Amino acid sequence: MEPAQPPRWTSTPGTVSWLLQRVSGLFLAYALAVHLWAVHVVDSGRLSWDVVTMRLQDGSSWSVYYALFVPAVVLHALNGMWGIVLDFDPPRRLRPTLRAVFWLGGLALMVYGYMGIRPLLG
Amino acid sequence: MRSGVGPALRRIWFPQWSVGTVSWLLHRITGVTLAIYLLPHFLTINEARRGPAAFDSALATYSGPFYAAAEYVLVAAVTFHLFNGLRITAVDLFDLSHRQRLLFGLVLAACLAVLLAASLIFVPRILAPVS
Repeated sequence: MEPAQPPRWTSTPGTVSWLLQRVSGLFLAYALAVHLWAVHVVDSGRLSWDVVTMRLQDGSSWSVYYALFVPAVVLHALNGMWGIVLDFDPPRRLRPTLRAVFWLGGLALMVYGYMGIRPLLG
Repeated sequence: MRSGVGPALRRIWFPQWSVGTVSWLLHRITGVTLAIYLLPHFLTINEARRGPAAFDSALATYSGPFYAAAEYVLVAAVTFHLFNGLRITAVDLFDLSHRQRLLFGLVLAACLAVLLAASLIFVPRILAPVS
């Protein structure tokens, strides 16, 4: 009987997708906690242009935070939805088209999300 | 094993509610909810491009008890998805599937703690008289 071999890393699209979901998820655990604390605790019930811009332009690294947060949240959301689509086992001939729709939609959402936050960062 | 249409339908509509099934289902529901929520959230934030007045007007739409309750539900969804995601990652990376029940219990306890703390902020806003 062959001795058991340790699992090997193979760079298939499924593995890359799994890894991206884990890495973006771990980052979002931190980033969402910061977001919830800042928006739903510190600024709770008094959100306005003045309050938000004062916080985002206080000299901290909010622009770096949002440059990472927006792509991470969009990637995690779209990659998760793609996983759900694959669970329904769509026909193989449709998958490249569906994947392209997800990529284009994700990129558009990423740009749109960052465009929205940009004026608030000053 | 029993066969036939009746037992088969029962297996489909009444699955075995194991800890894994419940956590998988809740993770799916909260994940899809949050993914869908991204679009209206980005639409609101993009009002900032039209200036302070438009941004404040968009934010004012979401004031009042109904939206405070919706915000609380959103925080609950984020909290569960976050802690359960950490549990899934821990199970994947450290081969902890035999600790499924304990880890899910910890997830629920962490969610309960966060939601109790959050209720101190949200309950007064939910119960506030409409102006």
